[in-house]
Amino acid sequence: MGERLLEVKDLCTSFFTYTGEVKAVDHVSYYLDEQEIIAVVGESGCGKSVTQMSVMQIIQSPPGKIVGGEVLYQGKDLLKLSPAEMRKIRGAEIAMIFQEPMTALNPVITVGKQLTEVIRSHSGLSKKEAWKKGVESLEAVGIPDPEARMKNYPFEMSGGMRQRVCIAIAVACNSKMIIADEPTTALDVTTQAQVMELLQELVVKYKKSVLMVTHNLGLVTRYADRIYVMYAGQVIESGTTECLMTAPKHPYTVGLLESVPSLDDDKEKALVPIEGTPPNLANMPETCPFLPRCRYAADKCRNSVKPSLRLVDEKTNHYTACYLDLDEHFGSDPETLGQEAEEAGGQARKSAAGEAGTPAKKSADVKADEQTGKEGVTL
Amino acid sequence: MNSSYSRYIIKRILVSVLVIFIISVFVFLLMHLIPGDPVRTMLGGETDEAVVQAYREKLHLTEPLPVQYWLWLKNALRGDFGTSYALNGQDIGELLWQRFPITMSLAVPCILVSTILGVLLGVLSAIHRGSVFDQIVTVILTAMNGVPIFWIGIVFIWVFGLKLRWFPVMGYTAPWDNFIQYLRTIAMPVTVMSFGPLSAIARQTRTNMLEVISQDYIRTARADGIAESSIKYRHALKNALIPVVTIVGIQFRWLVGGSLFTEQIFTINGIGRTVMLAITSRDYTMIQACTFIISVFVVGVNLLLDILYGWLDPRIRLSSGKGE
Repeated sequence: MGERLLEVKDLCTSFFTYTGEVKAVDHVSYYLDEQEIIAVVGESGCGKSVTQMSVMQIIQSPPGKIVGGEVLYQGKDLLKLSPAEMRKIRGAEIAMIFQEPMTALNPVITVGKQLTEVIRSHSGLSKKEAWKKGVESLEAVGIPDPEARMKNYPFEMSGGMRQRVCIAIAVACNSKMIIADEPTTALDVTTQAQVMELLQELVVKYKKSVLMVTHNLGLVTRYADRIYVMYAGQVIESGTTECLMTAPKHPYTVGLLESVPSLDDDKEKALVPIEGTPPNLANMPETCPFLPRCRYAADKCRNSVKPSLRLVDEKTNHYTACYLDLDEHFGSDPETLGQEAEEAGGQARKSAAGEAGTPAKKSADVKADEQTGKEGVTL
Repeated sequence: MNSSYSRYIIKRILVSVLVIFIISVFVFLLMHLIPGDPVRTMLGGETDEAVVQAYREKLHLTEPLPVQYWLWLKNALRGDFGTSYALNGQDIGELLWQRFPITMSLAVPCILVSTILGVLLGVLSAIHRGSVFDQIVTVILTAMNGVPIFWIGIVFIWVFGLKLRWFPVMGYTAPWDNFIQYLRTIAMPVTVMSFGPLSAIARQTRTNMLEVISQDYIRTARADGIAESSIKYRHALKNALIPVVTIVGIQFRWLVGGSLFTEQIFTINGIGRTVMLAITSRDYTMIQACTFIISVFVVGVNLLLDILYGWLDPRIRLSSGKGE
């Protein structure tokens, strides 16, 4: 890991619509070091893509507007740059690749022309030199017969090929950082792996940093160094991949992990979805945004304003925005209690949780009350 | 030009020839489908049955239908459509040869002006969407689309012709006779005729532009740091113009139909007035000839559009002939 490359502080982006201000990104902070791969995960509409588009300043405006915060790229606040200066950052310093390789390239312009246009708009190269560089970068991303491919139109290529072209554009201008917004979602599984391997190769070989936005936890565990979990426009948990995968502290992260199918699981065992839908971003509650869907919700949660991120473990850089300490309750939900307790061999937990109808909540309450010293309120 | 594009063009040409053949059959049958006896109409009033019969034979009307068709087609392809009785036996082929270019000399400038202005207005109002400019343009275009051509034509004649005396209210001068006078005579009819096409093209361009600007590849272009001017006028416009081609084609064909009105209002002897005359005087051979010529023209325009489409959109150009 090298120097700090990007640091986003308290970024806020809102969409001003007829129904009011939609806070799509609400005081989001994160950082990315050189040669690091980080992942931003969360369900659709949680603001993970909008955050990245805010960093790139390609939010459709109106209605979108960045209303606050800092985006420090190598110590320089990108939000303070003029549009012309920012244009030089995009593509040249920070490149972005998108989810939809089928539609991300212009259908009526050849791959070569699109590639060389980007190269030339960030360098003083002649058409010929840019073309040569284009061929080289297609080669670098593993496209066979790049010279011929340059003359192709995007529709003449497969989805995986097109995504490689998008990555080639990112490589061609020597950008230090690649934001990959669900780069593999639209691809089939074998192609997904190839694209991810390619991205990882870029990190190792060309010393790039990658920020990937995804909802595919499988990819995250395999490739990311650190994870930021977003919910309702906010980061609700962050830390190293290992600590988040093994010891999540936020009920939402727990829910995400539980809804991932695993080959090791019994086929009969149903996946546990997170019930309900995220809150309306135009009308956010004062309390924890996850509260209505939270299995562990306690009175403390209902009676307090939304929790801010707190440090859990300095070593793993683990932060969570939850009042509870889930270690105590992970896997002790009444519905999944039987299986999970047995799997974990957690006899003690079982007996402790098994007494009451809603044991998790009860013990969570106790914990929460202990923390604040507030008197317990009956369930 | 690569081989699949030429294959595409050849295919379009063959289809066009087939369509013209089918049209020719229908146009030919027109004579026989319309009620009334053309020979009697030609001769007028009561005539000796023997004379009628003689005329029938002279016009090959006693031959079987396919033979008649063949004779007609053979002549038509040579530009011989017979003679007009409404215009005292004038050669129809010759007449159309004079009059069709007159209509074109109105329709072509009209479609050029409409396309250039329409695309320009459409692009600008899309880029400045929601601005005062956009709103004013939208109101004007809607109004232009709404006014009937015969009404606005008369208003123009009254205001610019009779009151202000800027332009002649009637008549036509060919561009090769006196170009300045030609421009003066077509100024009003072309302006009036442009209302519909200009409005349609501008609105279509605006809609397409807005749609294209929200496409993923435009976002990609922005994320790649491409200059905004290139994004709008290269990346977006190239895509937005493809559907506009259709509208331009439709409007161009419509202009020829619309010439029935404009040529009548401004007293210009183009194909529109000729059709009008032919219909009102039941000059069947002339109706036949005009219908055929206009149909061939429409097919020709369609062919041109198809070729233009392929040129603009590589997906059409390159995927044809691959069995897609």
